[in-house]
Amino acid sequence: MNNDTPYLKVDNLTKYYPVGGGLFSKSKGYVRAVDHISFDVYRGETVSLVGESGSGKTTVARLILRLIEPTEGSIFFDGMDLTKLKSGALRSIRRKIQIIFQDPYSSLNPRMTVYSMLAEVLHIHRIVPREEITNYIEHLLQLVGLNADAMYRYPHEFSGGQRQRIGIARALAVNPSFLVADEPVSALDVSVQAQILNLLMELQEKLHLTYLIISHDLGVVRHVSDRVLVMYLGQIVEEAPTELLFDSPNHPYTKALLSAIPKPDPEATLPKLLAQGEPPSPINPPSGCSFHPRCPYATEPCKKETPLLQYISDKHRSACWIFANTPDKSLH
Amino acid sequence: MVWHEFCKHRPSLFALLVIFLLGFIAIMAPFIANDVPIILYKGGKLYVFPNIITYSDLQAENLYANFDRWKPSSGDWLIKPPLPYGPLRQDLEQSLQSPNRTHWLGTDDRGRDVLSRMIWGSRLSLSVGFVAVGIAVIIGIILGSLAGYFGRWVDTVVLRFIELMLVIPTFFLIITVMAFLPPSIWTIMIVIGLTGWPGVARLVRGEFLKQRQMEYVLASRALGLSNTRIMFRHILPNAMGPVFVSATFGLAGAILMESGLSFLGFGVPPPAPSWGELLKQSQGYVDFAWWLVLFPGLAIFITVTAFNLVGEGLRDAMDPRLR
Repeated sequence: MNNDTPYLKVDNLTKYYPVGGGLFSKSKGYVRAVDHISFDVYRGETVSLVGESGSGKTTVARLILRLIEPTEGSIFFDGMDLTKLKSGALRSIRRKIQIIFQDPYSSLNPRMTVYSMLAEVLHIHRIVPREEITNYIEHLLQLVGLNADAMYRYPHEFSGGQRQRIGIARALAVNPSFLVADEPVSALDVSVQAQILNLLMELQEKLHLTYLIISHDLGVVRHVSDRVLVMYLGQIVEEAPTELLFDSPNHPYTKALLSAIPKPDPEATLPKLLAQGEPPSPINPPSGCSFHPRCPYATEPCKKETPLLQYISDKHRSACWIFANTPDKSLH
Repeated sequence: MVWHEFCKHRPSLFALLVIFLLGFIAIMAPFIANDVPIILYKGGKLYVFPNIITYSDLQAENLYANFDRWKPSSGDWLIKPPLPYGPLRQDLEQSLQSPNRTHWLGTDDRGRDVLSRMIWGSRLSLSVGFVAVGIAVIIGIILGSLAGYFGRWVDTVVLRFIELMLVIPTFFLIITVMAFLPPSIWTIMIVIGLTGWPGVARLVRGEFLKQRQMEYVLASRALGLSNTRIMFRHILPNAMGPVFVSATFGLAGAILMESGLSFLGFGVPPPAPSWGELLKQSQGYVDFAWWLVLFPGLAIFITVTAFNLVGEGLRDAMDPRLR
């Protein structure tokens, strides 16, 4: 495995949505859903993207899958620029990058049996010859922990966890090497969440998959990922290996997120740091550091200048200048 | 599920039975009301179903046009339909009879049996309804799904087109068009169909807009399925519910439209017996021949009401909010 060059390289990726405006009037502004973000994912890795709702995580997932077109920036996958692919090449890339969706109730077509859903994909991409399709579907279902007789049933006959397994089987049908999981467990019961996460990790080992997991649940993130990217208002504010991020977060936003994790200890003291108020509107992001209105450490320069994401140690990047010179672990 | 809900609505279920009965009568018209026999044994030869099959030797004797006056010679026999009058069979001696034993719903000014004409008229009225709605639904589905799926300028163009069609009073548009076209049942079907699609298109567009956002559609796109496949194999089956409802109402509308056109003389050319045509022919006799007006009018009323009731039942059965 070559771990020097990134498998997926997101470079300056940007998605602005125009607000208002019609056929004859100019739009009144933009929602900055994703605002110039860059990150790398290496082969075999699990990278998590965390952030509040509205921070642009899902938009990143859909941009990588080319379900929506970026306003700016590029996405390199295995050296190819996905944003410049024409439909033919795009289809072959679709066999390599797949996505798992959040809501197992809307992500499966209610009028198709599991068999017809999977057979269609196998047939269109010519994964296996026609007479082997049934066997292959059986194998796929086994892979995600379902019985072969699930094949001839409709989605409504399954539980949420089983549906999510079907969604995973569908994504795996084309033999992908890169999986984007958009909140893969947040719509499931807590007891089922662990099963699905363990399944994902098992599959990663068996099939040598690379994951980009999008989540707002830091417990999930800590459980599965090697590296974490923290997003706030369309921008990445911190990036670090999982252990490092949870042990010594640098950005005040990350600290706020971490201190908001409920602890199973009735004696625990109140969170030390909480972000104040609601996330601001991405149509009119605050000047300077976009976190400054909610940041307890904010100073005058924070309101004027935007801090850039920069390395504070070997693998640790953060977009905050107040703590820029604070070495790791010192906060403990 | 939907069927179960539908059955709870008694009037709609009854209306559905009425429609099935009407459909049966329409399909079986040659066996119910005809002067050509169902089975004929003549001159040592057996003719099966001469009422729907044209035998060349019977044709050569010009028998088809004169079955009512045909006298069987010895050894010949025949089985007649229960109502032994064809819809076009004139008998001036019997003209303008009020309902009686032989002519249950009376006769018209040329002595034609009204019941027979109405039975044959159900064929015309129902087929105009189904074909016209079929055309409207196909156009509506294609335009609506394009608009809803692709959005942007496609949507704008289709929507403007729909609005344009909706502001034009359809009935007068059809009358104008029919004035220029050769009158035939096909022209009526096509013209009614071509003006009936905007409602369907708008419904389908709305459903597509809703379904397009669903994750299963995104998943299909991520899996590299073609747009046509996603539109027609994945989204359309999920969008058909409201279309069925609207098609049922559309059927009632199309039947009413055809009757109206025929009544005004722009419809099925005479002597073909459509229900509207029957009404039109009764115009001069309204004062005393009430049966000429009442029965065709009743037929139109019952059919249109039945389709509307079924449509309502379907709509209620499919709308989970009404459960």
